[in-house]
Amino acid sequence: MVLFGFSKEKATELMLKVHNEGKATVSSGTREEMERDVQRLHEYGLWATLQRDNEL
Amino acid sequence: MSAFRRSDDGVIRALFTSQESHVLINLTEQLLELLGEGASQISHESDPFLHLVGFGANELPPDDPVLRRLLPNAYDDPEASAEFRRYTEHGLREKKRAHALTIYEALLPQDEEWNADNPIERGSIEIEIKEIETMDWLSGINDLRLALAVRLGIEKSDGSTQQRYELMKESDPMKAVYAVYNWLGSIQQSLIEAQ
Repeated sequence: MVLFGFSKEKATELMLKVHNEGKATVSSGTREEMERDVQRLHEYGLWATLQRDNEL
Repeated sequence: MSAFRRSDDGVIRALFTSQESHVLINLTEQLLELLGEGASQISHESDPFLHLVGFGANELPPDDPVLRRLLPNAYDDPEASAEFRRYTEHGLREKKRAHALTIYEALLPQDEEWNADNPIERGSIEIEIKEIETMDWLSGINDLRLALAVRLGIEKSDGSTQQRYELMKESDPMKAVYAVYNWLGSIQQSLIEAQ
């Protein structure tokens, strides 16, 4: 699966962040772009949500 | 099950026992059925445009917790979530069904006398996964594993789950489900290592 083009190291780091902290930010951009990313992540069975930056 | 091995032609192969194959056929059948349930029927008459572009009409998250995990909310906000679901849930269900179908069709025996109610022992079965089907397999097996995790009440991997199931009596049917859950994980690992 190549979705965001992360290196193996970066992907592993994000995976461990999800594993240990429950979530990680993997992508940011316009609402349209993020909805598309979330859609793709759901296809892979990943529990993705999106939110406005100022809510972080 | 033997480990998946990739040959020079890009095809990934493994040997499954007929029992393992039956378990996986059964699980994919159940997943296909579940993904079909509660899918909004797109009526040709009611809205030809929606029918044409494949949008469903579901706005609320599914009742079944497994479906809620496989087709999750995209927003914390229910209103934004409902709108997203309306435009994407149908397509997501179709994608997931297609992944499960790839697995199902690879496992389904070709011989005519075979039927699911009366399986004939066939010893071990060679499973062939073409390069183009690998992502379908990985996604589909992952969906099955997530579905079992929800049914088993697994939310974290802190070792408490393993302990809970190890202490269970052999006669407890959930112990067998947990074994299948672990097996699905080893299929995923073997597939990734073979890639």
